[in-house]
Amino acid sequence: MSVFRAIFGKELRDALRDRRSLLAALIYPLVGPLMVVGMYAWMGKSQAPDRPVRVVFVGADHAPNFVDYLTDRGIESTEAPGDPEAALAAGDLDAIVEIPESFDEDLRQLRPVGVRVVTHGSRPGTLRAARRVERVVEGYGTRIGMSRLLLRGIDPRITRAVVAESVDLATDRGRAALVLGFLPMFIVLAGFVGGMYVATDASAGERERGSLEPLLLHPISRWIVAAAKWAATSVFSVLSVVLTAVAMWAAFRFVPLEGLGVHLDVGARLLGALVVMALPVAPMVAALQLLVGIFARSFKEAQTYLSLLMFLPMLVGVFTIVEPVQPRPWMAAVPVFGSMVSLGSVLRGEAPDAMFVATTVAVSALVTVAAIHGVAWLLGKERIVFGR
Amino acid sequence: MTIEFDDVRKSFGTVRAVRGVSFRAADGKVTGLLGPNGAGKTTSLRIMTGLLRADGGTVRIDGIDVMARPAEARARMGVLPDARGLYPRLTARENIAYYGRLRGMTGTGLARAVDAWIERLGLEEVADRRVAGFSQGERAKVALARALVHDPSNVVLDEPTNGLDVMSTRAVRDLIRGLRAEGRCVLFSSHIMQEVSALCDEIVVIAGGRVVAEGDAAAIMDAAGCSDLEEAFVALAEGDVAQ
Repeated sequence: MSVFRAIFGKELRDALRDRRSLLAALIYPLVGPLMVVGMYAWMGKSQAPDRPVRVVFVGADHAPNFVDYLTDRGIESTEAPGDPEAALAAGDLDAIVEIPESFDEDLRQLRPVGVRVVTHGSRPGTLRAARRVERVVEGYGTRIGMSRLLLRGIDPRITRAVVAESVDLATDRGRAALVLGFLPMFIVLAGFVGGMYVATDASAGERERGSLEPLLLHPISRWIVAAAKWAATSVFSVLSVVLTAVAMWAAFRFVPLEGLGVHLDVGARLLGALVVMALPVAPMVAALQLLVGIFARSFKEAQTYLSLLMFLPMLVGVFTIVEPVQPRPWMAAVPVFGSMVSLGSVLRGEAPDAMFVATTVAVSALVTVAAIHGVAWLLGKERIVFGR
Repeated sequence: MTIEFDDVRKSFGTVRAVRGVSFRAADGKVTGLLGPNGAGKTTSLRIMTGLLRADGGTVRIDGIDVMARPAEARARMGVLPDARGLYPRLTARENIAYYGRLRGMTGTGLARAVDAWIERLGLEEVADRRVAGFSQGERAKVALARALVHDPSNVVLDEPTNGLDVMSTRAVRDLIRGLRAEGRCVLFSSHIMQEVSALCDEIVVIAGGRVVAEGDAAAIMDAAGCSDLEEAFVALAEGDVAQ
């Protein structure tokens, strides 16, 4: 036990003095929420319906009432410097509305008024803006049409035989899935980033420095060496995961989730659930990183291997964002993936399934113990101890 | 307090690195393992620590078979191996104390032992500095101090003066003489003739993975039929190659 404490204490102290270890464990959780808030802001901007449409009115003098009507409905007149069509192509402008000189005359003569809406279809979001302008223009026309019917003693409703009421669920759901699908991977990755430098230093670092042989010629069990190094690495990955979950949760409280179609009760229970679901990943990743790291002769080599190891959850994570998964029992048995699925459920506001979570924890524990055994076994291999 | 090699053999693939090494290092004496590079010195010492498994033969530390009871055997040794990497972010004192803790030492006993070795190796001024900026000589001294912090009765040093300047080399030689005066069994390897002849009571000449001569300097010269130790060494080493 005293040997365990000696190695654990030394690895912790060593890691705490290493700026890279600290940065990895502490910066990632802080960068995460910033990214999330930024993403929310960006998505809010491009997807929220109430952004004003910027247009240039040509011939506004011919129909001041019409222009006021549009302006009241979020279609703003912008002074385009120079050529409006160039501004349109550059994306500084959403549309050009051309009002004919004959606007008033046509109305009076009951002729259809031709209002041209010029857009540049290649700009993202322009099509949506153009449709809005068209809708509002037609709305104006409908109003006038209705008042004409009323003047003639006809109920305008007779012109609308069937009314389609469309409620677009897909966009709301899709948006929520995109936002929430990203988070489980992000939290899980914290476990990989947090312990990476500590694991590298405690495994490949010992080999590169030539400190592994003098360490192992002590009368100590290799299993205890492996376990103590794992414990020290785990401190960092657990810290990183918990911090990330807490920071993410705090970010939720500042972001208008409802506006994005995300309905989540951001309370203490959510935080607790996030931490509990994410936690089994951290110690397991720490053990796996040591196992991979001990194969490497140098720090650089280890970093390459460990970066590749980190691609696994990223691949799975991207897959689940594109194709949100419903929890199935077998998923619980897949390390890391099971935790991501649980986190996904929690973030959708669903109650986690106890059996599923228990299976995930059990599998993670099993993999952890196996990996520590693997490290201990490798520490007995001549090519690991002496191969530099 | 003794180190005994009995017909130790080790091959790496088709390379027979150690082919039947036998010798005995006794307490109160300095035994030198002398041989050219690649003679099998480091391999022999690695087998002695139990980190490398011999293909045959036994190594006994105070009568304890290293391969059968490695932990007990290791507890009786202080070893400065070929690899002597320190932890750069720890201070000299912390590096030494860490190895004491790995030996189960704690509290004031540990602190006193660490202080004693720091003083003995003249590391007082740099003791609380991080090892990262240390010179070769300072590093070697820290590595020696941590190998000896638990006060072992058997001391094994693999080329302890390798890469050191004159001053540091002299300090290491003084240390070896001191360890002998305290009655410890000191076994060290070297490829430097003068060092071995100046320090050793017993010389074991290894070449091509075999012991080609052993005894004091006179006996070695006798065996080779030379009047000069260096010539004797060359003759013995080349003789082995010629065989």
